[in-house]
Amino acid sequence: MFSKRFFVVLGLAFVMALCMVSVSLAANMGIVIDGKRVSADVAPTMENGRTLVPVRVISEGFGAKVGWDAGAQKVTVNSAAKDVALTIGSKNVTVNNTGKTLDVPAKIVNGRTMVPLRFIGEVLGAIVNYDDKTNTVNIKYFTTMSGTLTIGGSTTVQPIAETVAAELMKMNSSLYVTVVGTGSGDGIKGAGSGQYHIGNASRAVKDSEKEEYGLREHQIGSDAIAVVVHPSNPVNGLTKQQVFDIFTGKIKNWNEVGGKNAPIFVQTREEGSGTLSAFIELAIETIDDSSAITGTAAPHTSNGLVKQAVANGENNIGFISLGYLDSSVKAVKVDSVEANAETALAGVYPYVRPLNVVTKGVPGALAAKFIDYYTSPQGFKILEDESYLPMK
Amino acid sequence: MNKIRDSLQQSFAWLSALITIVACFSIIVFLFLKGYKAISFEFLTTNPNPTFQAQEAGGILSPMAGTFLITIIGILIALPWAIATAIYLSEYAKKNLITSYLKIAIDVLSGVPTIVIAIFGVALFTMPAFGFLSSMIEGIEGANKAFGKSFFVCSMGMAVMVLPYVIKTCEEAVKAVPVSYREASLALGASKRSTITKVVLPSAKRGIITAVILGMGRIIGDTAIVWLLLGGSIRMTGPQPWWHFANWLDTLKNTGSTLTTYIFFNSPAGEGNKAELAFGASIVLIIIIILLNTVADFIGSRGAVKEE
Amino acid sequence: MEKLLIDSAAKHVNVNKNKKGFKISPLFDSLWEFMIFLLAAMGALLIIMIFLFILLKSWKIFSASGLQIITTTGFEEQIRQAYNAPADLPVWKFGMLSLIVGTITTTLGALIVAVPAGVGTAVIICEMSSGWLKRFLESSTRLLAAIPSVIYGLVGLMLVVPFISGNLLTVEMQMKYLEYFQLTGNSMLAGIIILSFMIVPMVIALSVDAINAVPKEYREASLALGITKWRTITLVVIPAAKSGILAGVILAAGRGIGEAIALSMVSGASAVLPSLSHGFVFLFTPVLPLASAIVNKSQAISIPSIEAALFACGVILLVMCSFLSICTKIIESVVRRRQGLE
Repeated sequence: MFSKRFFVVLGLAFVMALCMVSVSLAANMGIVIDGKRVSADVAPTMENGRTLVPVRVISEGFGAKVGWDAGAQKVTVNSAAKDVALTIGSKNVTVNNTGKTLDVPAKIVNGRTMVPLRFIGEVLGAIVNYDDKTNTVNIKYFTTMSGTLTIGGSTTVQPIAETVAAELMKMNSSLYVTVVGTGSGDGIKGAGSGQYHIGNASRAVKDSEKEEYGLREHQIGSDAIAVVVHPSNPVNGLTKQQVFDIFTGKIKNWNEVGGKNAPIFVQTREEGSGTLSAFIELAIETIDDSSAITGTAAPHTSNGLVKQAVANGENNIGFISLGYLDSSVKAVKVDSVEANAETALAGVYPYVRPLNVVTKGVPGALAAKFIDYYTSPQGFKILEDESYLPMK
Repeated sequence: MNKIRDSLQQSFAWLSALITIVACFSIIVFLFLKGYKAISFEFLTTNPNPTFQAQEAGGILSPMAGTFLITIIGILIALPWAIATAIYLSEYAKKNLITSYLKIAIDVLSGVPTIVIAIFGVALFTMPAFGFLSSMIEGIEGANKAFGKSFFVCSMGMAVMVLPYVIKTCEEAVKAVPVSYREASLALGASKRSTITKVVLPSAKRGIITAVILGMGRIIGDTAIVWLLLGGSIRMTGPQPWWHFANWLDTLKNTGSTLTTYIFFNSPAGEGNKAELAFGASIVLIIIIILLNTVADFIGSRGAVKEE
Repeated sequence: MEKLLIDSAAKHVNVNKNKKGFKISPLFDSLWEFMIFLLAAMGALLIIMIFLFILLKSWKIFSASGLQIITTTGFEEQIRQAYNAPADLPVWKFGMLSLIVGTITTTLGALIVAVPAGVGTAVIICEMSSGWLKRFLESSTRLLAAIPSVIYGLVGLMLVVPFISGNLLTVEMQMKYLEYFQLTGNSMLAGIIILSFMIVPMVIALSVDAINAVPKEYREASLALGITKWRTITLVVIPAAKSGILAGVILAAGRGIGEAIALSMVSGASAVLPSLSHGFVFLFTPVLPLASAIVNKSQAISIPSIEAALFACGVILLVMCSFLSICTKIIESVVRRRQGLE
């Protein structure tokens, strides 16, 4: 009899001790994503034997966007291939409109939404494990890629795509990514016809193209478009209306906008260019959507050629991607706002275009992770290095 | 009066020769002045980086390797093909409609613009049947396509481009072999096949080498085919390191760049926007071409001495 | 040398006897002949395949536009319309007259510059120089021929275009023509200059061949009659080499018509129909040759009708080049026949 009770007590004590140990350990539990320690203001906790982790910090590490609807107590997580919605206190989650059940509901701890670790694994597609020696939650997302990816399209997106490819291939020994630069149009066509897993486009995809190919757009960043003139041009700033009037051919002389008495020569880009489509959308169609760039504008095939044309012609005006700006041309202020990364990120500079990649329908797991990398913290750095604006 | 006309004509001829020379050297001097700063040991021995920042752009190692690869593979494909055609035309072909069609077709092929070969190649090699030359696209619903861009594909496009030139030069070389050689061989009881492989082809060797160098020069200089069939990637996109022996097949089935697409990408017409690097690469390209010309001259002159 | 070859042939025959005997040999030989024929036929079939393939790809354009494709202009505007058209109402009608005229004017302009200069240089190389000067001229020509077109494009873009826009164009001229087109440095003239450099070595090389092919007796007879060396060249040698030079000129024209990359970098990228009524500004008109159109407009290739239109450019280009190739062939055979008769 004695011995039986003794064992029960001992067992209870043991379990209690174990719980206390695990609780105290959980308080200091760290999160490591792809080998990098992530700092979270709320540490993972243990509940009913399940590890709960903060959803925002991990999802953002995966390049997903996290939304919070306070009224409905709903959290949304959007990545390239997955749209996830979960409600605080409920075990039900929807993933791309199909229901799934969690073993523990999501809850709020210190103002942060916590989800069970298995959610990260099963729903978001990461490999998770808990290492009790180092007391860390190890999550692998970008280091579990293997297979072949082909990517083609916009030469504007090409350098960042190749950099992402190089970084991911360094992290995954059996991942092969081929990136070619063939222009936005070919990127869209190739993605639609199944030649590329991911098509790069430095413009919004047209509705007719979406319809033709069944494409899905993913924004990976943005880019500001600077309106440039010759450095000797006395005009330093234009209003949005003046930009519209100049590029549609209504204003034909620099003296109408405060310059000297000289004609304005408009430089533009070839049809299908991402920069041109974006510029028309942002600078022309926002004022009058039936207007077009003046027919006498000289078309060029690249940002570099527009810059060269403006640098060589003192009465020329053109538009180039912010990354190409240098001392050979002068960017004018638009509505008194200077064109630079800060004003563009702050949303005060008016001409900011999306950089897109497209996939045929929902991307496969591999392509989705590649796209997610652009919007992850590592991806932000790559975009910033190339003077593009990340999706922060 | 006539004398004045004569001297005018003469001075015009000399002037045009002078202009040709001056043009030739002014282009080279212009390129050198614009690009010599870019050339360094590092420029030649590092791979290019995909970036718009000039100081981090790296060098031209992999574009040089790319040029080398497509030139070698392109010639390896074109040469046997061309020799066979040349032998057929000069040794076997009878005077009939088929032969004259063959001859016209080869002439027409030599006039096909490279951009047309390139767009034809794009349409052809993205067919799934040719997937083994590049890679098949997997994991996209409802799509069955090959990637259609790789060193193999590009080399095949190049082979088609140079084929007519190599055929012509080979044909001349084969025809230049004296009939007496053939007769002697045949008289000794050798079959026509062994006469061709053991007597005619060895005697035509020098002409065939000239054909190879001519073809190589054209492949090195082409941009349109590389642009569409190799894709103009900045890096080598196969498994890294691309130069590793174990990766050779994957490297060839993947894309990269050549010096010509590197120049195009970095000129203002491309998006690279680093003209100095384009000029640097142009200097390297011209040096390679001069070397190739010198080799051709050397072979030509050595052969000439022998014949005397 | 000859003896050595015969020896090696004899040795081979012996080997053949020992190893295989005589029975298999004829079969092998006919198989070998068949293989060779197959390879030769493949090359010849290729051209038909290329033609059919790109014709198929662009068939809708030709059936919708009919002959208007080569008689009407407005390519630039049609590309814009096709690009902005909704998916269910694609634009299939294109008029490429301005592209064709642009192709012809740049090539013709380049020939006007390159043919006299090339023939002049060829005369110097063949008849007026010797020793180191001849070798030097020959290797310079060969080098000029080997420079890739993308380098010519680069030089044109960085040197010729800025020169034209900086020194030859005035604001008044630009103002005057702004209603038709914008005068930038990128122009027909820039295209002609670059193209001339590209085809001059070809003209030289083929003219050298043609002049060298003129029999020595012609020159000797003329010189024996007391005619000066120079007059012999202009009155005897060049007329005799005329057909060969013409064949070279046509080949060079083919190269000019097919050049895509270099011209797309310098010629203006705007499909304007050049008009002689503009006087000398004609030369500064921006033009878009067919081959460059394929390069320049490829940014919008995702629109099926634009893709087809670019393949249609390829078809027209192929027809023009094939026509020129066949012309060369005819001239060559005429030359051969005449030489055979004489």
